[in-house]
Amino acid sequence: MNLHDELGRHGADAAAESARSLGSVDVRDALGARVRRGRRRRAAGGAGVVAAVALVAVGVWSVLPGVPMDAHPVATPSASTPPDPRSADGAGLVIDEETAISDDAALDVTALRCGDATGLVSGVTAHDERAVGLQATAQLGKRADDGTIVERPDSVWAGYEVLYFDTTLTWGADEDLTVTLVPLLLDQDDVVAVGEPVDARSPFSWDRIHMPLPGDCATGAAAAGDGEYIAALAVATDLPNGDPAARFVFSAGPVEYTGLDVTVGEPEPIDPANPPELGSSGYLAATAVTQLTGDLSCTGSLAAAEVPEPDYSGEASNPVPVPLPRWIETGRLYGYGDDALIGGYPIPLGTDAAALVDQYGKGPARLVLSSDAGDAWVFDVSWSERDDLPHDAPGWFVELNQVWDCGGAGIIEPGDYQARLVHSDVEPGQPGTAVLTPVTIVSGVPSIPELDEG
Amino acid sequence: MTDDDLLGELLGRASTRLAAYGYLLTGSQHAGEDLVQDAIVKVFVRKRRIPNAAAAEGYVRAAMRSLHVDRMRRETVWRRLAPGQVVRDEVPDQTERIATADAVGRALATLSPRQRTAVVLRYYDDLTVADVAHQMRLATGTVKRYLSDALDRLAVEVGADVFDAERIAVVETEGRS
Repeated sequence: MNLHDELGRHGADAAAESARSLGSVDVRDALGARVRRGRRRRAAGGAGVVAAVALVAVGVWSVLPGVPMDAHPVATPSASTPPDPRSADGAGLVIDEETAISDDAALDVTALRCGDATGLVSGVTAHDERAVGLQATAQLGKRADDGTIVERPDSVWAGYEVLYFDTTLTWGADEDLTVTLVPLLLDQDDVVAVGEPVDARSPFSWDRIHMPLPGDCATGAAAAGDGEYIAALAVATDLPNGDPAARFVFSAGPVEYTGLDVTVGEPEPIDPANPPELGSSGYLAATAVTQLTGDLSCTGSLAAAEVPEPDYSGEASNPVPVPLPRWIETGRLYGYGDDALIGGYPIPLGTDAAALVDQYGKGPARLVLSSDAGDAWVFDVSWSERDDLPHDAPGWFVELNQVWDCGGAGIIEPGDYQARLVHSDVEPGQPGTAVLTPVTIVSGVPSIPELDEG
Repeated sequence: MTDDDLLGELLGRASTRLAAYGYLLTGSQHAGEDLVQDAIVKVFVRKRRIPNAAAAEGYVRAAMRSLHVDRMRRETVWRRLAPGQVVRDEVPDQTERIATADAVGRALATLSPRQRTAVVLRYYDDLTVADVAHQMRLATGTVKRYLSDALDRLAVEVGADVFDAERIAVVETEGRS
């Protein structure tokens, strides 16, 4: 049997109706309309960049309202060919002796805030003639949780992928410049996310500046869901005496964000005196990294504790929830009271945990908690849906039963612990280790006060 | 030739092949149609110098591969987060229909999305293992494992010795890549 031919025959037979549909006038017209709509959106999203780069081609710049501009991209597009807005991403901007010097106030990149309508357009503003020779580049990239790198991406899955600008800055003078880099997301002109400013000194070969997610706003506010946003980077360079040298604005054009609704953001520390309510959305632990290593043996479980913690500031993907609590009561681990070692009592996860349980609970799983001192506690994990518990509302529950002959650290004491979940079938037949956000152990059963007191 | 003319010519001459390719990749008539249409929009939204419909078909097929692999990665997450919903919505219905059509269809439906994609790219698109790995953003060893597992599965469904020739080809390709 020739598999190529068989596949072709099978595909053609099975998709005969699809082929007729695709060949119809209605579908052709609908596709034409989608194409035209897409071009309009693309033009609108990148209009500022197109305008700026096109103006460079004829020697005129206008960047920021009221600020005269003069600059030259490293690769000047030809005047007869409309530049692709994405080509501005990664292209360097250099200030040479022909660059006009602006006397206007320099852009304060640290004052950018969500909700502002900036009017930012990519380009450079020179504020001092000593900035001649200054050259900067910024290239948008995307890193997936498996380490895959995509250059100049036009989409990002926020749950498992992160965006960043790789930047360089060089200057011909002997002195160093003070540099501040601020990543931004724009919805048309409006700022919908502002990243933490990154301070650096020139020259640097590259700095990786991670992009915020839509809605990440230290100041101001912006509602932001899945959709297209313009990834931008504002760069301020100041001379050693504090005078502004130049301001750069890079735009990577529109990037389609999806999966924002499943990310849980950077984990906040648990306040033991006021922990999130059991079963609430802030109650679940989260993971940003799952490695295809580990097994469910004692040795494998203890080795899982050594899987390193991700840096939630950027290199790791954005955390997604797992069906385990971020804080656990000793009374739920060991029964009603510290002395009654009768095994795990069901811990509520809420009513919406079914999908998470199905992801992590297809086979045996183990939770490994480890302390800074190097001690580890291993728990068998099992999930169930119940409506028969007198003190808890119906829903999904997890039971944690300590594996007493593994780890050998005795009863776990209240405190903060690193957490790893070893679970089956991360890939078919392949167990893996999920690096969880830290888990806090609290004493007693404060979620059921009358039992705790008893 | 205007873009509308080019689009019309593309659909006129290649809709059968594109629909089949979309179906083979996704395992679903509906998802396959969506994939074709999304790829066409992706290709045509961006101004390009596409000389003729044959070249456009090449662009669209490449975009289909890219979109499908992207979606597969995303849906892997969704299958973790919303298990069963993606698969159960489509596969049982398709499986039942395919099961009455031919053995290859039944066999394909038993493969995981990644195995299926690897098989289609390797044996229908005739890509090398290295190219399949590049397209799927996987290591070549991983692709070889998917192909080997998939052929094992296909052999069970279609017949034990049916795919011996293809299995040998995989080994030969490993040597080249």
